[in-house]
Amino acid sequence: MRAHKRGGLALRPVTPLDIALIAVLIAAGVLMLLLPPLLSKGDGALIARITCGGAVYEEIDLSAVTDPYELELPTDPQTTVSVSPGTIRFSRAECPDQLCVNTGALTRPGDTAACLPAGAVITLYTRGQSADDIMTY
Amino acid sequence: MKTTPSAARRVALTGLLSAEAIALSALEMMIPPLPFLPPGAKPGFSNMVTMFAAAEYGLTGALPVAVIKSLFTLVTRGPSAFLMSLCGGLLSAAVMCLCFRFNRGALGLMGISVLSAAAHNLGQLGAACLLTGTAALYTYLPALLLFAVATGLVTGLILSAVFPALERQKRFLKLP
Repeated sequence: MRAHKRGGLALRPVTPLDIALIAVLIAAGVLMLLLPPLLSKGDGALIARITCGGAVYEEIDLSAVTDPYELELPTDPQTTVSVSPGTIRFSRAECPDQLCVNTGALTRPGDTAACLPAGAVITLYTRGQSADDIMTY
Repeated sequence: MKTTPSAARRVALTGLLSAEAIALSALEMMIPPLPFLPPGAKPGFSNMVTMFAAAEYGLTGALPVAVIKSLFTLVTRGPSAFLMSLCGGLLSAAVMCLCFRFNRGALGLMGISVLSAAAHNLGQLGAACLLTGTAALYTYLPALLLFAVATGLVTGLILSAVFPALERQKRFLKLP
């Protein structure tokens, strides 16, 4: 089964279905970007959840932080998290790609940074007004 | 395993294509992370080579190229990057092969390119969730989808331009 004949692909460059597909993907992406902040039910504290290896390691209320401090995560390769008032980031990591560190500071609900070799993820969310409402942003 | 001359030529072509995929991948790794993009997001040029292989030979063509490219990632960037590349590459190869086999003119080159780019990104996201043990990474989804559209279009365009050159390799190897 060949998808081409001599001299080029027997495929049209763009079809109507292509355009529809691309439009749907763009719409889905834009919707997913815009909707969550609008749906945010919580007006409470900005919480940073640090997950190591699938388990929640610590949750930090960033709005309650007064002095910046550093936290070393029990991961291999080692990662260090820098916590400041209203913001958090990976400050140091011993992974080869440094993508986690390059993500920079997380400041808004929904912001995420992850170090895959270390299995560490930081996500920010807003603690909602209702007591059992913990994963909204 | 067959040892006919044509089988040997197929192996040689696979080697050539895999080398091209690796070269493109290595080139991409030199691009510094851009501030407005998720770190690690890359254009995915090697997808063009896999698409060519899938268009010519289907799964038996695309899979070796995708796997060998992932093995290169294993050697240069470690096991987590390898898992990401493998999951993304396999899902992408599967999607493109399905498209090439069952497409009756409904999809064009751009559409297949965008779909395989999206599949690649989704596969990588899935691998990332496995590695971190959490689904919190779903926040990357919108950026990945939009990025897949952009990179899919770019690689589709480039592929249509370089397709004759890729095809020339087959003639050089005396493959039909």
